[in-house]
This record gives sequence, structure tokens and C-alpha cells, in this order.
Amino acid sequence: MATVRIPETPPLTEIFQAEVVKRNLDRFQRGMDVIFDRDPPVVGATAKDVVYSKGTLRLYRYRPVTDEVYRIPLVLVMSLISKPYILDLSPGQSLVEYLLREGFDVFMVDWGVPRPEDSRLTLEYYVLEALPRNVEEVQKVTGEQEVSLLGYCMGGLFALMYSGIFQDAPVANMVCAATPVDFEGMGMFRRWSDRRWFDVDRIVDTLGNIPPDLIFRSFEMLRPAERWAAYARLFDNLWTISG
Amino acid sequence: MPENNDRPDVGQLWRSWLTDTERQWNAFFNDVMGTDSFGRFLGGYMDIYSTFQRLVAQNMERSLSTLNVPSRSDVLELSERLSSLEERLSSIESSINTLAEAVGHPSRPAAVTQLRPRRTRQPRSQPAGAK
Repeated sequence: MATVRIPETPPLTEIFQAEVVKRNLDRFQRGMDVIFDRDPPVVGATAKDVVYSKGTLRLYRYRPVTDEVYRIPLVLVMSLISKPYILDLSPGQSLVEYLLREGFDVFMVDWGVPRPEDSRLTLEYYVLEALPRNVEEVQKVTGEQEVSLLGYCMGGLFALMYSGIFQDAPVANMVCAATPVDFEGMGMFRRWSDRRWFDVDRIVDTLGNIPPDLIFRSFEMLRPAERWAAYARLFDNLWTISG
Repeated sequence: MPENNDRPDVGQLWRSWLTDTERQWNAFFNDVMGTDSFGRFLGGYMDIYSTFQRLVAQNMERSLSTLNVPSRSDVLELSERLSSLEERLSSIESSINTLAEAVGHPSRPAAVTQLRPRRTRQPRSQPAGAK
């Protein structure tokens, strides 16, 4: 007969050891920092210049950190939904920083936070007008004809549409990250937004820009338990986060 | 704290339990919310929500108009006009820059124009002379 092994719990003396007490004090202190938003993390800190702007749109050029860069500039095309600093989180944890160190000349198309009047902007504007204009600016600044595109999330869709529509688009390379290309795979979203019961035109006509909270909740509903588990994991890891 | 390999790590057990529980709850909710009936319910909710929003907006517009106070749509209209002015200014600025560059007086911010790194870098795996 197999014996059931009951996990031993550490004796009380160990629980109250100085290291454990210190860890929990650190956890408490960092928890308070998070709750009261003290010492917020620095995001998007890599040095950059605005090359072109229009409305909320900004085209940034990150300052190269090497004397010699690859010939073809790299343009990061961001999403309309997520924040642009997701690719430049914090010093030491930044894709932009890594690319600069590796010798790329990095640009970023940041669409900004849409304003109420931007609700009239269409896909045509982003793909046929704005993105080509940004590519032109990159060409002007670098003197190079070709560009490499790295599209993130919805930015990947823009980059794909742009390259597909303009046969002479000067795109040497393209990378899409977190870009939904085959929507067959988005089962839940497809079911929720089925035309039989979801009138997207009516919602857009009424709300204008879709409120961020609505988008956030929709994504959250794909994995409803994730948020609470994330809080638990944050609590677990709080003491390891450097202050 | 001294390491004892015979004793299971309580923290690790808790983390595994958390991951399993999260996965199970997500699977359960996905089963419930992945149905047509839930989609229909969600569509109905959005329908009611947008109708309510529209009614509130219409009534607010009427009330503000009666009180002779600018409404949201008036502010948006102003904002649109400002945006179009901004665009015009930006296009004039761009034309001036192009002209200035043509006559040898670039007016772009120095930080952007002075960045002229050599564009000759090659991938590490390739020999230096390869194209």
C-alpha cells in the first residue's frame, strides 16, 4: 500500500527567523509603495527625439549608442491600444535599449492616446496616409530608401496592410509581434462580436472612441482568473522587487 | 536559512496550487462565456448600454443648449478646428524646413540632424567584406 507523504511544515522557530521576518517586512513596505503609487517606475526612458508629429502622432528617433549602425533603419509601429513604452519598459528591461546596443537605428511610430475628435479617423488614414508619411520622414532623416518594420499588436496589422497595399513599399524586412493575423483563432472574441447580436457600428456611433475600460475588460474576460492570480503573485514576489 | 532537500517547499506548493487553480477557473469561465447564449447576453447588454448612453447624451445636449452653455459636441468642434490649424502650421513648418535645407540652412533640431552614425555595420556571423 502506497504511503501518503504529508508535507512537513517548518517549525515555528524557523518561521520567526530574522530572514523571514525581514522578507515580510520588505513585502509589506513594497506593498504600501505599490498601493500608494510611491516611487513609480521610470518607463520609456531611452533618449529620443521627435522627428515628426501630427495631432497625437509622434515619430521618435532613438539616439544611437554605437558609432556604426546597420544600414537599414528599424521602425517600430505601435498599436493604437497599448502604451508605446511596452517596448521600452525600464533601463535594463527594454527592447529598444537592446536594439540600440546591437547597432540598429531605431524609430518608433507612437500614435498617442486618441482624442475624442480622432474617433473619425479610419483604417485608411492610418494605413494609406499616416504610416507612409512616417516612412517618408525616416527616409528623409536617414537618407536610406529601405526600412525594416517591426509591428507590435495592431501596429503589425498596419504594417502588413501597408506592405500589402503598396507594392513599391520600401520595406526590406518585417517582423510582427503579438499581431492577430488569422482571426479564426480568436474564438471568444469572434463569438462575442458575432454580427447576429453585436452591432459594432451602433456602439462606435454612440461612444466614438471605444473606452479603454471596455477594451481592458474584454481582454480580461479571456482569462478572468488571471488578474487575481497576478495580485497573489505580485504579493509573493514583492520582497524580491528592488526598490 | 539552511536548505533541507527532504522538506517540500511550502511556497512552491502554494505557487503550483495557484497556477492550477487559475488554469481551472479560466477553463471554467471560458466554457461558460464561449457559448452563443453568453454572446447573445453580452450583445444585449451592449445594446442597452449604448441606448442608455445615447439617451443621456441627447438629453444633456438639449439641457445645455437650453441653458446656453457649450456642450461636448461644441467643444469637440472647436478641438477639431484647432487640430486642423495645428496640421496647417505643421505643414507650413515642414515646407520651411525643406526650403531651408535646400538652401543649406537646415532648421531641424540639432539633435536629430547631427545623428549621422556610419551605416556600415554587418551582422556578426558574416565576414566583414560580405554584402
